[in-house]
Order: sequence, then structure tokens, then C-alpha cells
Amino acid sequence: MPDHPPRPPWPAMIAVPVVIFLCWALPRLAVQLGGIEGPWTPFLYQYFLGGLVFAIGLVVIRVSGACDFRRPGDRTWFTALVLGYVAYALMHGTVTWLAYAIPFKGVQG
Amino acid sequence: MAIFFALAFAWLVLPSAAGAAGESGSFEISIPQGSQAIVLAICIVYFLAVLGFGLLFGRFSRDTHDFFYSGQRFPWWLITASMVATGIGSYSFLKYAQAGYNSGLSSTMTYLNDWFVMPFFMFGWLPIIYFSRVRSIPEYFERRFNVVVRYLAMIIILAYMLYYIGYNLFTMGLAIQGITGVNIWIPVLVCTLIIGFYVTTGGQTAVIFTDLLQGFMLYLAGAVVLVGGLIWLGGFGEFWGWLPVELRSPFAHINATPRLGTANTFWGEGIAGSIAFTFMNQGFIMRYLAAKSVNEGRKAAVANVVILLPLSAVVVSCAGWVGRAMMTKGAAQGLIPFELHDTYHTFTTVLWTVMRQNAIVFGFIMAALLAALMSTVDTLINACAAIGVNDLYRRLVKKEHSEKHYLVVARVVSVVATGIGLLLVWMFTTMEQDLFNLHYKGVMVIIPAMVTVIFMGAFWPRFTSAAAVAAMIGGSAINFLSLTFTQWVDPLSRFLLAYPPEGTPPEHSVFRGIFGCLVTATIGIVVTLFTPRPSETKIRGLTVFSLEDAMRSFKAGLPNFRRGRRGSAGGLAFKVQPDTGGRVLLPGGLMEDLAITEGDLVYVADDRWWLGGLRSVQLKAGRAAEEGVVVLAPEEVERGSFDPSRPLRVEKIM
Repeated sequence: MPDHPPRPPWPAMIAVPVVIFLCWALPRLAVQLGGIEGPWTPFLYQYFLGGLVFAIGLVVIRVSGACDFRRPGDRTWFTALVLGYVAYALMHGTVTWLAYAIPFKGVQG
Repeated sequence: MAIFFALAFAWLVLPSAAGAAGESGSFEISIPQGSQAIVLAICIVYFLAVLGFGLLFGRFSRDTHDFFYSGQRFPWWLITASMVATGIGSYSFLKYAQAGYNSGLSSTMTYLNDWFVMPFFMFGWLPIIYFSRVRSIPEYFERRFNVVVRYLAMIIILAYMLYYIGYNLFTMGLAIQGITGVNIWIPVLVCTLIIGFYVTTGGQTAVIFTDLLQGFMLYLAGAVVLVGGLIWLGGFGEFWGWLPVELRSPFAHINATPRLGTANTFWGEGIAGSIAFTFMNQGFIMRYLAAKSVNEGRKAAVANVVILLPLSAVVVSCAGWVGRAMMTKGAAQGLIPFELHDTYHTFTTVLWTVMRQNAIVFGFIMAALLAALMSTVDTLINACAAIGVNDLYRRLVKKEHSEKHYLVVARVVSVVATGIGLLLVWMFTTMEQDLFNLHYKGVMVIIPAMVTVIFMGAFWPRFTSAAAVAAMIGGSAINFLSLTFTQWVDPLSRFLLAYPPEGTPPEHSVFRGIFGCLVTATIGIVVTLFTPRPSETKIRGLTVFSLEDAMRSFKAGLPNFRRGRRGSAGGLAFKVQPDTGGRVLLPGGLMEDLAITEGDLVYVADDRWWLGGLRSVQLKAGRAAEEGVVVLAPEEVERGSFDPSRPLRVEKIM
């Protein structure tokens, strides 16, 4: 089988600085939105940065052809991946909300 | 070399104070002599049951392929269920109950951040290792890079696994010592003998089936503590109401608590827990390789992360949450439900209290704690044996020999790995350090270089062998030096908002993981750009960009992606006939139904689903001369352990 021509480097040259910028910006955006002491700030931190890692993963598997929608099952698995992310966010969001919505019975100290 | 590294590493990294053993000398509960005898008796009965269970299934290991990978025959549910017990170590109950008591529900963070790397695993690493038929991660490295990288990887992985074997044995010994007052070496030696015996005899099949039993025990143990605690408190509403608000959040403060702060945990545990366990832990990798297909491996991964990890997080932490709610409620009512001077003892203290000093239930739970230990260590021992045989012995000592010979060597290596684990226990007992630091200082120095090179190798075809060597050596060295020069980690910690507020000393034991990855990646990228591109022929099928090639090579032919009218067909009678050409001969109607063409890989199993593929084989399909009956060669019937009186199920794999 003949070797494929090397892939052009420019997508990576653009992607790497963008990812570095987002790694810097997203935590600060989370703090900006939720406040450093805010109950939702850690949630935003995790799902912003986790979302970034997750999105990179989705892009890589699609671009590389590892996840090919023409193959049976790949579209289903791809959907399952996205739904899993949403399910995790919903679970964490629900528990965070419950934490503050139900009053403490003792004396908060 | 790896042994030296594991020992030297433990000696160098963990010297700062000899506390864990000393401070954990006894639990803060007083168990009467009669009750102690009951607890011990239950544990002994449990030990014997596990031993018998392991030996029962061990007879299905006929060669090294069975011994390490169980012949790639198990369905997703069995793989997933057996991973429960592997993922929960004995230290998990102690560490997370303590974290749960001190930090509340945020103790679950380390278990619940795996999903973000799942695309890389499900569509990248899993199919690469499965289709390339590698037997160990070091073997992958030789094929992807060169032999130098293979041995570097082998040293790091063995050091990582041997360290975990020692650490698990050590924490288990501490727990038993605390309850019974016996010398730490008695429980350590007894457990080691039992695990060593059934792993050595039964291999991966014994490991998977005993872990299935142990996982069930662990969940039952967690349920007993949780339900007992809720009854003690008066229901879930009472539990939640009396749990302080700041302890109810599933996340810690973003950076105020340096160890379990969200930023530290996200980056640190994301490396130590998620990526290392998923991508680098040979024990886990071997579980996935034991799956009957990549699809089953994906199902196992999803079920593990979506269902079992959240459950596991609750199981190991709930004693801490319940204990804290009990304490708050008791304090409000002027009662002290239990004495807890050292939160390391949270699990056993809360358990003893909520079970109202019932020695039988307590004994049962302690047996489960031992289950946690045994099921983690058995996997690691089997994984060490896989690397010892495939990467060392088969390559360097005897290249061509009988499978029987390699099986004997695998058993010897299992014994050696167990012995080194014992040696590490001795070293840990001479050190002073809290368990958290002991754990993280260890793994965060060992793993970053390795996981980074795995990632770059699998997802970046341009990554070169020279870069892999430089990155592994340079990354490990700089990360190791950062233990002394901790200020090197500060800028990255500030960049990612993981640095604690001014005035609080930074604690980098967890965060060091991401620092090591970054350093390794930087070295790898720079060296790659200055070295020639690897030949595409050499790396074909070994990166995420060439999975079609990997599938083709796995099947030794073009993959058949056509969907049949059914996924599988059961209730099939079979007959034994020599000279099938190493194939399973299928009736034409069945082949059409399942969209199978000649030469496709099919999975043939005993029709009883609950056997979990224990009696099964993977074979290429051929066409039978007559309809209505499946034809197998006698050697395949023996390999699959098929019962001639039982019908079969057939499924297309690829």
C-alpha cells in the first residue's frame, strides 16, 4: 500500500495556540461567571475544561476516520459519547442544586 | 531494572516521615475478644471461598493466551463487573471514607471525571491495542517506535504496578492490624499466599471470575454501610438535612484546598486516575483484551464509567458522609455517636457504630475490605506476569518454546511479582507519611511520561521514536526533580487556577501529574520536529489514523461491515468433524441471516448466556455442506470446552 502524503501542519499550528488560550481563558471565565467562592464555579471549571478535552477527543476521532459514520455502530457510539457527557453534567448539576436547595437542619458554622 | 526502580522510587520519594504505620496502629473501636474471633472466622471462610472459586475457573487456562487474556471471549457485562473489584483497592475504603468525612460528596470527584477522555479510549486506544493484537503496552511501543522505547515503557509500567501491589498489601495490612491488633505481616502474608496461589494457578480467567464475586461483595458492603447509616439517622431526608451544606456539593472549592480542590483534582486525578487507569494500567488493558470484540470492550467501558464508577464512588465514600451526618445530628442532640480522633479510621468506626456492634455483619464487611485488596492485587500480579513473560522472557531468554513452558514461566513470574510486593510492604512500614501523600507522590512521578507517550504515539502519526525516547527519559527526570524544586510546578498551577490563595502553601503532589505530562509533551514535540518522519508502513494500524488497516490486519482480510437480520443466532446443534481447516463451518441460511461471508471472524459460544463466554472460541467462518448444523473440529471443541449435548450460539465479530 502506498504511503499517504503527509498531512498539512497548519491545522495543528492553529489548534495548539487556541487550546492553550482556552486552557487559560475557560477557568477564568468560570470564576467570572460563578465567583471564586460560588457553588457553581467548580462545576463550570470541570465542564468547561472537561468539555474542551472531550471536544478535542471528538474532533480527533472524526478527523482521523477512527469514528466513521459509514461503519455500522459508529454513529450510535458517537451519540452515546455526547449523551454521556450531558448525563454526567446533569447528574453533577442536580446534586449541586440539591446541596443548596435543601436547608441544613443544624447550626451552620 | 523495573524492580530496582520500584524499590528505589519508594525509598527516595517517600521518606519524609514514618507515620502511616505508626498512626494507624489501632482503630478507635473496641471489639470484644469473642467478636474478634467471629470476625476472623468469617474472614477465613471468605478466604477459602475465594480460593476455591479461583481454582474452579482456573482450569480453563490452557496456554499463555488463556492465562493472560482468557482467549478474547468474554461479553461486556462480565468484563465490567470484574472491573469493579479491580478499581476499588483496599486503600479506597480507608482513603475515600476519610475524604468523605472531611470533604463530603467532593470525595467522589476522583471517580467521576473519566468521561472526558472516553472518545480517545473508545475510538482510539481500545481499537488500536485490540486490533494490533499486542499482548502488552511495551509490545505496542516496540511496534510503534523501537525496542528502546519498549524497555523504557516496560520499566515504568512494572514500577507502577509493583508499587501498587506493595501499596495495596500495605494498606490492607494496616486495616487488619488495627482491628485485630495482630502484627501487620500476618494478614499481609496470608493474603499474599492466597492471591498468589489462585493467580498462579488460574491466570486471567481465575482473576476475572473471582473479581466478579469480589465486586458483588464490595457493593453489598457499601450498601450495608449506607442503609445501616440511613436507618441510624432516620432516613435519607435526615441524612441530607444533617449533612453540612458545604459538604453536600459534589465538587470541592476550586483551589482553596490544595489536595482535593477541583482544579487540582481535575488535572491531577484526570492523569493519575482516568488516563493512567484507562490507558496504561496493564491490568485494565488485559480486561479489555479479554472481551470478545471491540464493540463489547466499548460497552464495557461505557457501563463502567456511566454506571459502575458512580456506584463505586458512593460505595467507598458513603461511610464518611453518613458518619459526618451522624456526628452533626448527634452533636445537636447532645450525643456523641462515636469517638473519632483520627479520620483515617472513619470507615471501620462508622461501620461498627451503624451495625450496632454486630460482629457477624462487621466480619462480613471486613471480608469485603479484603476482597477489595485481593481483587486489585490479583489483577496487577497477572499483569506483571504478562509483561514478564511476553516482554522479557519470550524476547530475551527463550524465543521459541512450548506454550506449556511459557505457562510455567508465567506462574514463576507471578510468584516473583508477589514477592516484590512483599518487599515493598516492608519498605512502606519503615516510612512515615500519610497515605494520601504516599499514594500520590508515587503515581504522579511514575506515570506522566508514560501516558503522554501513549497519547502522542497513538494520536500523532508524526511522533518519532527518537522523540519518544527523549520524552520518556527527559519527562520522567524533570518530573522527578520537581519533587525537590517544587517551584517549577508553580507557574502551570497559576495558569490553570490550581494555585491556592496567597498565604497558603501549594501542595503539588496531585498537580505534578499534569506538569510531568506537559514537560514530556514539549520534549516530544521539539524532538519530533527535528527528526525524520516515521515510515507509514511501519506505523500502519498503530495510530488512530489507520484503524481500517488495523482491522484488516486483525481479520487477515477485508472487514465485513454488513448488518445481518439478526445480531446472533442461538440454539444451534453442532457436530464434530476433523479437517475443517481451522474454521467453524456454518449452514448457508445462518450465514445469510447473520450477513457472514466465508473468512469472517465469528464467535462460537455455549448458548447459556450466564456462562459469560467461558465455553467459547473465535474462529473464521466456512460454509457447511449441510443445513441445520454447525461443524467444529475436535481441537476447537476442546479449546472452547464445549459440551456436545449443549447447543451453541454464533455471532459475527467482523
